[in-house]
Amino acid sequence: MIEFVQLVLGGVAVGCVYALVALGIVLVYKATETVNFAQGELMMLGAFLAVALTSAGLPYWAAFAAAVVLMALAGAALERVVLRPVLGRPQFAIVMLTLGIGLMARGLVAAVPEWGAQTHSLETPFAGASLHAGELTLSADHAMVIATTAVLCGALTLFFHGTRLGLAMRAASQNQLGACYMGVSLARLHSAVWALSAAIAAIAGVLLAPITFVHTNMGLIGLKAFPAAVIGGFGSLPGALAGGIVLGVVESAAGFYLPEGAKDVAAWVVVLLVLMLRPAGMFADAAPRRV
Amino acid sequence: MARTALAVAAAALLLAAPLLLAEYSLAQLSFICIYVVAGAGLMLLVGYTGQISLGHAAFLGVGAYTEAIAQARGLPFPVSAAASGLLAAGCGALVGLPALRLKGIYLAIATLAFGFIAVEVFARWEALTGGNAGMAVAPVVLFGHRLGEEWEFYYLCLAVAVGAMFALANLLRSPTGRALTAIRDAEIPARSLGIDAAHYKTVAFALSAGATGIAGALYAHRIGFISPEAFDILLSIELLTMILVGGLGSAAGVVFGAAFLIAVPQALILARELLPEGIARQSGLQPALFGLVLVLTVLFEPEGLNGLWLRLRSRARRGGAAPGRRRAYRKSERTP
Amino acid sequence: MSMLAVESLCIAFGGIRAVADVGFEVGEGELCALIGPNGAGKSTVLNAVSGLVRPDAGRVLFAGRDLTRTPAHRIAALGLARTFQNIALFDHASVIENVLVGRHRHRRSGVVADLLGLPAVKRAERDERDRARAALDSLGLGPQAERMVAELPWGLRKRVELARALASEPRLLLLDEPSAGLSDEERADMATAIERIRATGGPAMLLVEHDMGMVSRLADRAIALDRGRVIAQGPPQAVRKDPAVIEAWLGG
Repeated sequence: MIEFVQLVLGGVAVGCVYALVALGIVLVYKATETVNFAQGELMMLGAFLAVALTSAGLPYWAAFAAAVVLMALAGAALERVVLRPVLGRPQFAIVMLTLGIGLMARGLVAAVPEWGAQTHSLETPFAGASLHAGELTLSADHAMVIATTAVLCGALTLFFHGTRLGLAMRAASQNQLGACYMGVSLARLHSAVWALSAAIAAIAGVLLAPITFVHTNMGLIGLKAFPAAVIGGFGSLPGALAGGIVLGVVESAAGFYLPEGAKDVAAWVVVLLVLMLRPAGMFADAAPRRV
Repeated sequence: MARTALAVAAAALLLAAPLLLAEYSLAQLSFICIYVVAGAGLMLLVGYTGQISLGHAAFLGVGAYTEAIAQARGLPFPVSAAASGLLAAGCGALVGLPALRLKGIYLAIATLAFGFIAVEVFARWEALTGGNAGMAVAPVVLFGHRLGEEWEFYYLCLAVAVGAMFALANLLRSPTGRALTAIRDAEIPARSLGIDAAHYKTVAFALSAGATGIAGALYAHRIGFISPEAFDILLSIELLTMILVGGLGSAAGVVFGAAFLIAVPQALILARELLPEGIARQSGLQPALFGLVLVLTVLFEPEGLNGLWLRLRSRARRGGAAPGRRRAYRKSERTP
Repeated sequence: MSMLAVESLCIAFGGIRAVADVGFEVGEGELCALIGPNGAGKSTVLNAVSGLVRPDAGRVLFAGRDLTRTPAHRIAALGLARTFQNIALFDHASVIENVLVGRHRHRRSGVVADLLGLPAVKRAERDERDRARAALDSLGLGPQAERMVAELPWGLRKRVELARALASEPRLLLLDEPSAGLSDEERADMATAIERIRATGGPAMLLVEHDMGMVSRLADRAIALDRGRVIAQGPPQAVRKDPAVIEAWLGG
């Protein structure tokens, strides 16, 4: 039993990272109808920034904050320069565009001499520490992920319900004109959404860094956010969170109880099952469309 | 007239290539032929039927492993290559099942999932695939003759590529091809004209995967050693890059795209000699360049190299007159 | 036996009743017009007949056969063709290719034969092209055959869509506002074209139309809908003068 709880806790921690990446994907999708396949790479960039800043002498927390701010700026810039011109174009073109952005990000990071194709570790002030409750142990890295995710969710809830920009984002996800009624221009809103989404990706990257180390293939971990988003109903923020956490737990259980290799495909098997069994129930508009 | 002359010249060059090119360059040409076969398949699905697949590398893998395993068991090449195509087509029909109900992003994720699961199966079914250690693949033996020389294998690849392009052209001129493009352009009117969209989407997935599987059989021989990670998501993205950069919805785009895909790494090898050492040694150059080209294509040339070619040609002919009557299909013109 | 019989058709969208208890028949060789103000449910009835919308209750019988649960492509294969209000052509294809898609239900070759480009496929293709050309010629579209539909003006596109539907050699043809967006001159041409189709032993037709002049000129019978219900049916002249119809038009 204790073993199982331990397993679930570890799963929740990793699941929180999936959830955060999924959150960013769904945020952008709801506000701009763009499916961002580069979200995992944004996470990787955030992690690399944090590594670079700490190795330049910044303390962990300052590097964390700076990485998030820098990535927010990068997200807004990406929207302005690359995504805005293709707004309204068909989904395939945009999917290819974001895949291209992801490839570029990987390539550029690999091309930076100091970063290269090596694996880096992020120094944290709580490295090696852990929390104990009876027989349960939770490493400080995992605890940090769970706590930060919880705090971030609280902050996002306040933001979406208590600020004009947050309300405009919610309105826009229902109806593109919704934001205009709130007195926020769509262009500004899109930039803000991308900035927020990239900032969340950076947070996920910094949180994941002590657990998996920092390397150029981190972005591939981010791809698992898509199953998380689909399980949660692709389009719902709480759903994306729940989907990510469920996925983390399923993976960690599959890794323990099933043969080797099951862990790596668990997310994909689960998402295929969801897509096959409940394609309409979970996300499609159930009402018949007028032709 | 000019068209025929051009075609004859191209055919002569392709046939004479073994005399003109060094072994290394000929091997690259074989690669282009193999990518043309896979590209014809993917173009049919994405460019002409309007479906999306982020897992096509898996079909290439299914074909490659089938070929390697069948050859090791002593099956003759025509049989093993056909088996590669058929098995991949079967997988394609299976993956096409979600396509009947899923659209856009959901289909993309379903195919992505298939790609990841397939790579894991390659890695874990060790008795058959050799697992992560991979499998060595011997040269093709055709009718008792071992195609050990580069030029022999090149002619085989060329023949298959020409066959694939002919099949694609035949299909596009037939009722099946019209049904596929009708589904792409406007599915509801297509259905109300008697086209069973579910059936034709499955057919498109099966044919597409089948062609990619046959390409996989040749690919296995060309690289001589296959392992699971050779067929991962990055290869799927490369295949999509090929048809997007070549020009969606154009048969010529398949050839342009395949040539592009092979030319970039070669150009990089040349460029490395010119670049300062610090940059030249970096492994990230190729993905970065692919990514950049992908971004630039979507932003500035959605019809890809084929669109560029059509425009240059019409400008050369008429000094800037309108492009050819038949314009390539542009995804961007579709209403979402 | 009637060509089309619609019986107690009910359709709701998200709780809003679009069609309520609609029933009517179209006889063999007959041309019926569905008329009514915007939102009366005319197009929805057409969509239900062609299988694009599932009715919540009621039946659709085509030549005596129950089509209520039959998918759209099967209905088309049985010999029902239609056009769309806003024109639904395949924009990346030429005029004749669009019309060839209309011939789909008559295709004889299989996928493998198509792939191999067998001689039988080529023969059938020549034959199909001849028939498609004939359909185009009958509507005066012969000179446009090789042009891309995207380049054509609205009026011609409207006619290409009609040619595509006719090319399928249907037994019943549904026309959703054939005159929508046309100039007076083009309207007259369209009416003449429809008359010619009838004169040459064409299919039974059910058309949705706003232009009452066109309805009076073409239709044997008119069926007036208002808020999803049939409020009058009979000869066009009589339906036009029906108090319920006048009320609906003025009130709507």
